[in-house]
Amino acid sequence: MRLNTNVKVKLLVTLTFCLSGCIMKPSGGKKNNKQKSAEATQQLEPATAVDQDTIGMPPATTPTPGNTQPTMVPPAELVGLSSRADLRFKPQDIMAEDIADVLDLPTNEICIESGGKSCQEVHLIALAGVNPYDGGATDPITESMVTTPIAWERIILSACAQRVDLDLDAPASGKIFTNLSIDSNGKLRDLNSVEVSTSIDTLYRRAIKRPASAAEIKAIKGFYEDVSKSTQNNAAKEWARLSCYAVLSSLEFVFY
Amino acid sequence: MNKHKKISRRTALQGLAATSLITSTSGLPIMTSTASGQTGAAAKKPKFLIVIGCSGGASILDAMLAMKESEVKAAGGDPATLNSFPDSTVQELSGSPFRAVDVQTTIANLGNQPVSGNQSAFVKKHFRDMMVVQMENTSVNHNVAQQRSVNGNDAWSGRTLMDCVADTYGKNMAIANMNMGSGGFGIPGTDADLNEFARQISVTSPLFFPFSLHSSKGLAQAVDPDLLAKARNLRYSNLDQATNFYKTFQDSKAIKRWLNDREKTMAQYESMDLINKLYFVEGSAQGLTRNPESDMLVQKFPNYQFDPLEAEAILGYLAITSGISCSVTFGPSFQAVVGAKGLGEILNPPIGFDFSHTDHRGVQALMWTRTLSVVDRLIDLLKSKEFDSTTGESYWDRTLVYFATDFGRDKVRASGATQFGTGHHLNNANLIISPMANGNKVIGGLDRKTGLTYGFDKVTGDAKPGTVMREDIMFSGVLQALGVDTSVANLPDVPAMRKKS
Repeated sequence: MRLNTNVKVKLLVTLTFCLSGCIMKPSGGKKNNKQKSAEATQQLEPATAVDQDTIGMPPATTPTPGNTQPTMVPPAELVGLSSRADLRFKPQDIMAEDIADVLDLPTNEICIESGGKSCQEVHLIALAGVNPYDGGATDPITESMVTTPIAWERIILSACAQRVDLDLDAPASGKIFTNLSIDSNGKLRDLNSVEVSTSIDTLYRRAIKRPASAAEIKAIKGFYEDVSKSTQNNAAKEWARLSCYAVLSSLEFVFY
Repeated sequence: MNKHKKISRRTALQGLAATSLITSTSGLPIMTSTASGQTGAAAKKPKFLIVIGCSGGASILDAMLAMKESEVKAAGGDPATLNSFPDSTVQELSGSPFRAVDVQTTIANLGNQPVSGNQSAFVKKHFRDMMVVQMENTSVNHNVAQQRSVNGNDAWSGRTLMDCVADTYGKNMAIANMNMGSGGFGIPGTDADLNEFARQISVTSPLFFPFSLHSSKGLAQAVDPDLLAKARNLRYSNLDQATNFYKTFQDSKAIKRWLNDREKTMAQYESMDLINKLYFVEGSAQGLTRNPESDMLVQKFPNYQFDPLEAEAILGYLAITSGISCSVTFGPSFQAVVGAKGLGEILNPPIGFDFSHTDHRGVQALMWTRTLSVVDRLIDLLKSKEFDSTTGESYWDRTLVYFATDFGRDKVRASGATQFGTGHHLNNANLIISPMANGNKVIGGLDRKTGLTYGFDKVTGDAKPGTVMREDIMFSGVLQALGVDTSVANLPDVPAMRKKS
């Protein structure tokens, strides 16, 4: 069967898009601009059969730093595997700046190893830094080393501890865990308070640049139950620190 | 309803263990730990390789094959213009082919710093285990030559010596291949088929490296390990897997590698408490306890806080004797090292052995003495540490030290000069020390008329004038002396380099 030129072109274009990882929507013929606009609008709105666990919270009424626009999360059924998942973990300079920005800490103070050196310096090569003069390492690693995630853990645990201390010890100038009501034993008075949910959401908006989902808020609040059972004192502080750690060491923050 | 069933961390770890991706990333099979760094079922009884990367070009003519001026003259050469020494300064050892030169001089370009060379004590002590093997390298580029000195110029699919030894003996070791080398000595091998457990772990700071093995010990604030485990479970199950980000990019190799190392390898390192097995620095920190041998080690290597070579020797010793590593690489680098007295005491000149460009004799004397001194102390420690109580073997009995270097140096000098500079020269020979080597032997020959070394019969070790041996021969001989099966790579058999049974 011989194909006319138009069909050949369409097949070629479709094939090209398929090979590049995209799928062309089947076309029911030419659309006018009004139809195209209606389709686009339809895709932005949540589908009727939604996964409540993955729909983001409504945008905060007060814009948070770096996020002045509401962020919409596509429904689960529209999320597919990337065929070109070419991700990088943040190298040490970007990582340190990001953590410092999220937690509002000086970059060179986010983590100090025993002995006084910054963690970024101590774990330089594992964090994709270079050391041409002292160690002859002129090129950064292109794949993470086995010790790279460990270095990340150390830096984030240290940085989160500092931010949580600042927030809970001086609530008036807090950045993330703000206005939490804490009793004399260091426990949260009301896990279901707006302030707790807002703190978690603020952490997400600062770090991941999107709202926390309902499921994420629920999970992190559920984590508090574990902490308060295990800790006699300062459960709120431990929970805040380890929640901060869990979010900042999650894949979504580490990779780009 | 969420279509994607959430997987607990426990199930995920079991799943990760079942996939072939475990071997394609830098992790280890899940194992239980023993008191030592070794894990799991009975492993092949290990042998140990220590590669000393002598950065810049360690000339054998300024050490074990030093030439007397009278010998050069007798051979028809010109002792005034060849790198030879006054007869009285070349020490010989009865019953051994090795020489030693205890040069007393100054290095003009280091502010006339005095040098008191001492090789003779080392040679007298270790000659039975020493072997000098002829090699003519194939590159005058430092980085390339350094790499070739440890990978045999691509003799085995890009594997380094260290990769091969780790692959043979390191299956159940946490860090089978620990590399503290610099420049070309520190570049990983390139064989994609090498088992993951054998790939090198690069160490840039021996003092701080233990901190790379634990997520929280040593930090200012302690972390409850149980709570940390719960936080990790929260992260993995709820904050990673449930996100659209993960759903979209879960096939990423980078993410799979990361998860393997974060969820499995890190947990393993922490459960084995590697941080405290390798921590030796004086002073205290939260959660840290120094290795029980630390006091003895810092006494043996008192300059460890400012001399990386001494710190590396300590870490290498601990890695081997804790069952963590079977292959350790370190050595004097291009980095200048200043002693406790400040600039008047340069322990390691800038560019190491390569400072011979400006003052050959003094620099070679300084660097050989420095390197031999550290290795001497390390050998002492390995000799005194029992490896196997049933056989009475010490760790030294199963160790081979290979002095890798870029190349040799020029054989000529301005007539009669005692202070002169030298360039790179491919022709050289390398020192190997091991009870498993063909000890107290020079494998190959030396033409005292020209200062050029020449090759040997690979089986008998007899010198063969007119021949030279390349990096692949050295590579094969070292591996075979360590009992590594090289037949799979069709490497030449070099029985001349291993101890006669």
